[in-house]
Amino acid sequence: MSNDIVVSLVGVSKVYRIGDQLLRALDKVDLQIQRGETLALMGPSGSGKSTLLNLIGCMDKPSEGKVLIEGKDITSLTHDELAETRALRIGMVFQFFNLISVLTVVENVEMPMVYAGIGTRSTRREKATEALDALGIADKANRLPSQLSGGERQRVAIARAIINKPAILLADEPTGNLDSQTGKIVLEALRRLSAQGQTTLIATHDQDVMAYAQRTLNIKDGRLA
Amino acid sequence: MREIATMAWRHTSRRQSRTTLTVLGVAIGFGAIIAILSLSFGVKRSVEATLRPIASDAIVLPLAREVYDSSSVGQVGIGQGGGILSRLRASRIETVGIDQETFNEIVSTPGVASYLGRSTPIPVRAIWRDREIRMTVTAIDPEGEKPLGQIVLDSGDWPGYMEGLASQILLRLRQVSVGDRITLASEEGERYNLTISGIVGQSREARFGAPPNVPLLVTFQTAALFTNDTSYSGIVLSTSDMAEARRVADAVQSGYPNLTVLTFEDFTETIERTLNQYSLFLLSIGILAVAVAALGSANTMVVSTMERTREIGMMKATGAKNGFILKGFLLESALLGLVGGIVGVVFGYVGSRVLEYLVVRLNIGRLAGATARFSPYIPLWLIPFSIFLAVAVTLISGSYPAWRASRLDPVEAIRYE
Repeated sequence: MSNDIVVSLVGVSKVYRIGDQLLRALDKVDLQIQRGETLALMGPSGSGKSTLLNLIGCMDKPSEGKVLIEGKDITSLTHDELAETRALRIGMVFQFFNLISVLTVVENVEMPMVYAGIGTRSTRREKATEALDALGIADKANRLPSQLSGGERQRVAIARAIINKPAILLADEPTGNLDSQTGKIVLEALRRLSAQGQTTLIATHDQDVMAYAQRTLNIKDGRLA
Repeated sequence: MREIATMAWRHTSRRQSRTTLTVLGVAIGFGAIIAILSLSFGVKRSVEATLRPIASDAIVLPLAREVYDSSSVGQVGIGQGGGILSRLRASRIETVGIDQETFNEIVSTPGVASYLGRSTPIPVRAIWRDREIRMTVTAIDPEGEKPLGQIVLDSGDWPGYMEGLASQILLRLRQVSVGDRITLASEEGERYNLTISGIVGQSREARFGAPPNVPLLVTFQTAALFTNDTSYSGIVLSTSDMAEARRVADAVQSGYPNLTVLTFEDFTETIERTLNQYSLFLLSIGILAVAVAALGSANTMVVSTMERTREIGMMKATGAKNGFILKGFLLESALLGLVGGIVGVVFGYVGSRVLEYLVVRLNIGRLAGATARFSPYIPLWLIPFSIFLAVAVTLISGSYPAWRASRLDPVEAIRYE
């Protein structure tokens, strides 16, 4: 497998059991994402976007098929190995920011390094400040998330997601909870990261994302079009 | 670990009212246990301090025996041995003093360094400032009493022939001073004028059998004027040490099975057994309080994990391992226990003081002896031990919610509403 392929999905299906019924959220999906690529993942609600992101994000395992992150099959990994992969190889940005309310902005950004056991306290602080600076919110480093606007919180979440220089940055409706003006600022931040070579997969309904994405994936009923 | 501790501390301090209530629950539970234990330790310490001076003594007491009384047939006796018929015979318990011959043999037991004998109370009639009162006198051996120090003179001197030592009882009953004269009449009506040679002081430390609980102390020679039968109510045999006291006690006991011979160990053993039962009962109340506190703490942690389900999901999504989540919640539980334990020590101290007040006020703290003052006591080791136990209890009660939080599925947790 080429070193340029960051994510590879081979015949991936995901089936959920809801009561007595089986729900096929993903159906034999094949996908390869190249390093440095930016993809937009489009599809109606319930089409399987989040399931696909969860599988690539090592938060879930497929019912069938293989998910390879930088060539490593995640289906055989233990809980702790999956957690380590998430900390080091995956960056996640959620629609609702999901920051730790009791930690300051800079402490939130440091957390993936803490989980992975990377660096000393001072080097972690230094890297986190740099990441915040890159996203234009270094001056908010010592504030609590509750003291920030929605756009600022989402930029903190992006800083947290990229702190360990992940193989792929996954964003699930990153502007879904923001007004259009703030959404534009967040998208601009993501676009700049893409321009710097960060592999990114963004699940979105936003047409602006498609404008700068190199590839758009359309998903419907658990299948990629 | 620093980050886990920071998060645990901030989460705990942020939920002020819930944390305060949980900490209070733990503090009350452990405070109750400390207060109860302090009561028990206080009594124990007081008993030991009281009995310490007689650690090398052996106390010989006449054995209460069953005396049959055919005039009251039909009453059930308390005595031992005999068949049903004999037990159906009426009986009463009577204590007979130790006679002079037995006394002489006992005090010459090898190992006895000094001894103290006191007579059984002798009934007399006293004429005091033209008023006749009935009372008892006890015969003592001043030379034997002096080195033992069980009777402390407040004023005057030890009694000689035809002299009497007024006790605090007599002092309370009548104004008496050294040099006063008191007339005692025997049962046969013969009168003798005695001079008060001294006044017994208030005993600063309670010692077994001291001072005699009678108004007047006289010498055996003086007592012989009122009675022909001077028997002994008890003998204190002083030896060199505790082991020697045990040997002497065993020797006397084997020679005189109809007497009761007790040592320091016997006293402390009996008292300790009684105290342990008493403490166990009180402790069970304390343990119940701690169990309620543990449930409160578990409830707090369950609510906390539910409230933070999405946060846990996000932490896991961004790389936190199960162990990290587990440690975080366990640390929060431990923190509740630590603060609760510390506050509990303060509560326990205050509680022990309140108990002391109540016990002294209700006058039920005299388990240790006739004159021993009882005071709750918190040994130093109990403080860290209680805090450690509080942490352990909250850790155990918080372990299930913490484990459950650590096992949450990140996908489900992030979706949690």
